[in-house]
Amino acid sequence: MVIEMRDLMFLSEKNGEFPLDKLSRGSTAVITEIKAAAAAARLAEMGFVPGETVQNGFTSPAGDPTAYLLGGCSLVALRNNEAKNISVRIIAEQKGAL
Amino acid sequence: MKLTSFKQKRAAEPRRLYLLGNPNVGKSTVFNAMTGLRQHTGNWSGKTVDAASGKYTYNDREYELTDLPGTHSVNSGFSEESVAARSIARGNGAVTLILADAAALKRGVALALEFLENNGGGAVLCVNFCDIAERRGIKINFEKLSEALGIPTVGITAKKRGDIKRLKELTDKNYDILSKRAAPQGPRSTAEELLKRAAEISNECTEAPTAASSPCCAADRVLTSRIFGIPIMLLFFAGILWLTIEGANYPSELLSRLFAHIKPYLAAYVPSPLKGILVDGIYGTVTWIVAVMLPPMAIFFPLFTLLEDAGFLPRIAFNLDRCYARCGMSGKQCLTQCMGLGCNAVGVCGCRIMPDEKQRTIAVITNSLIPCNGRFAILISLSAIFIGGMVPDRLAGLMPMLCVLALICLAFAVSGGASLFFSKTLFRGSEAAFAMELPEYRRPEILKTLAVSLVTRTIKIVGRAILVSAPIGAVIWLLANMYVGGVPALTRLSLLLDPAGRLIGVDGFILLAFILSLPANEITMPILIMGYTAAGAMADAGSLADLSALLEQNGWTLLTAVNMMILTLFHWPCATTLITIYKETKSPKTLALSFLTPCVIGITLCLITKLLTKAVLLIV
Ligand SMILES: Nc1nc2c(ncn2[C@@H]2O[C@H](COP(=O)(O)OP(=O)(O)OP(=O)(O)O)[C@@H](O)[C@H]2O)c(=O)[nH]1
Ligand SMILES: [Mg+2]
Repeated sequence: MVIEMRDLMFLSEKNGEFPLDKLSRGSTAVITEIKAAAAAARLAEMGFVPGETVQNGFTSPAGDPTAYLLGGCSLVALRNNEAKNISVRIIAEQKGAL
Repeated sequence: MKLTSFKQKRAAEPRRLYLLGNPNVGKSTVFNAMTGLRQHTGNWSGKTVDAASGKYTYNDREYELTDLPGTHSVNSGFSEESVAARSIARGNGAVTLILADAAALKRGVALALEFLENNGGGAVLCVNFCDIAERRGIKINFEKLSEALGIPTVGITAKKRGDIKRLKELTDKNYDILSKRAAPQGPRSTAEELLKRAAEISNECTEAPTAASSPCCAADRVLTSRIFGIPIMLLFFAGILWLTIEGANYPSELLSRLFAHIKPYLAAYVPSPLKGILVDGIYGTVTWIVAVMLPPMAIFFPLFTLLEDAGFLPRIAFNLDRCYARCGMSGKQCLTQCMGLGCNAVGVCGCRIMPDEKQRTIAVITNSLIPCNGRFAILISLSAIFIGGMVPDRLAGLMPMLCVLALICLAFAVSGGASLFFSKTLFRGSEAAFAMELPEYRRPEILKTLAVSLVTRTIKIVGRAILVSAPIGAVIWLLANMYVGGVPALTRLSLLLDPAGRLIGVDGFILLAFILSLPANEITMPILIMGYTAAGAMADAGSLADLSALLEQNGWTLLTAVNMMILTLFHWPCATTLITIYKETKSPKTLALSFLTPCVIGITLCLITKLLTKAVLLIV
């Protein structure tokens, strides 16, 4: 089911990759690549690995760390400067999210 | 039969078991349920930082179970996690219980796969949180899971006795086969491969409702929202403080009256040469601590534990991370500080959750800037006397609360400032990262939590305070009653310190009280009171009104009270904390900095308030 949705999205969205910190609230994407080699191992441990789905859950009052829902099961907070090292491709865009 | 089983137990080494799992999957809860011990549990990742062992007997055989800190990976390099790896490596010939969360099965299975790759077997997969999974309509096929992984698998709810028994039975049945490990084979997979395989396995073995309710709930959007996030947190905290101050008032009064009532009877039984030291010295100090310290602690900490169990603390860290980032730290420091509110020694140990070495050192040094419960009670009673006394009765409950809240905010702000200073000077160049798991909210079992935290935390801490304070009460009494040249030795010592005290707006007795209370902060006030009372022993200053009168007699002004509160917040860590700091860091430099930092800050702030008061008085 997810795959179908992803295919659909491919048609409508600009088929591009972008950094995770640009993912809008409520939208879901799939991780394509972890760019920072140094942090990759640590991020992988928290569950950020290519192929995993990630949803922007909510952001802290100051707008910096954002909590991401990983693989639909765990919620992990990341600072933007780390999130920008993770490339994602959108699979479900939430429009007009809170 | 009894006898043989006893012999059997004696003869055989206990069978060894380890509890491994991702953070916050209920390892310590299972450990407690299996062994009957009381490891601290809490709804956030990193509650347990040190391995702990306990024993239980099943089927006439003795088992030794070790609870490990949560880990994402068996071979992880983080200090908080390497404890797990090291322990398991040593535990050859043991069985590892791998705990997983039924609602996030994939992560647990990934850890199990990694463990099996490393060790070639020797594990049981134990899927916890079945109650929550059931509520969400998630069904797990444990037989299939067991087949896929090649190890015994069981689903449990840590809080159900029957489930714990099933787990014990399963380990008992399989121990012999499992403890003989095959050699690990094959190349190690990467985290990515492991997770992918784990996802396949767990998808095959679970049936989840299509509209899976995500743990990303509406409550978080409010609690972390731009407008409400921080005010709500402050409100929560203020509410707890208010309940503590209001609620502690009455029992405190009652206890001190009770102790005062008992005192003459006790005095009648004690032989007269010992009367002074036993009744006035020890009894006076100990009952003061019980009457004044116990009630606020017995209210504050259980309430705080409820917040902790609900999963609130990591949200605080999340909301405040930006402030910590500005100070060169990470929001995780906030968690260590929250632990410090209970006990700085625990807070210092908790600093192991900070992944960055330099940030960890800074967090250790600045932890004792946060008032622990011993100092907390001093702040509460002082603000009740001086701040509560200044406003009309209507506000008498509210003002002390606001005052304590302000002091705690001050403590957090100062600790932020100190962290900033250290991260810019001595410990430059730490890695600015913050990756933290936010646990799901869980409804705490209110009654059980209250009972357990009352017993494990409050009683234990007060018990320790009493153990320390009893001998010190005796020593202080001796000092107060040993006359050197016609003046009690205690008075003499304080006269010596008086000029220094006056310089920073307090007096010699106060300085002496802080110095003598190095073993435990709880005894600062009893020492002070004993010093003040002319008789050299505590005139029943149990109630706040008596205490207030005593302090005013001794020339206390608002400035004295404010500076006393400042010094209570910032003087030096207690002996237990200092020892813990050295054990944790093995660095004399960190130890010295931990001692000096609060000292310098406290003295500076006191000088500032004194100069300000002088200026104000000049103008008026
Ligand atoms: N509803 C429910 N709650 C549980 C269950 N098991 C544990 N909990 C709760 O989950 C939280 C975490 O439990 P802990 O035992 O502290 O977890 P841990 O794995 O030791 O965590 P770390 O030491 O941080 O790695 C606590 O608040 C427990 O009360 C369960 O089976 N059902
Ligand atoms: Mg634990």
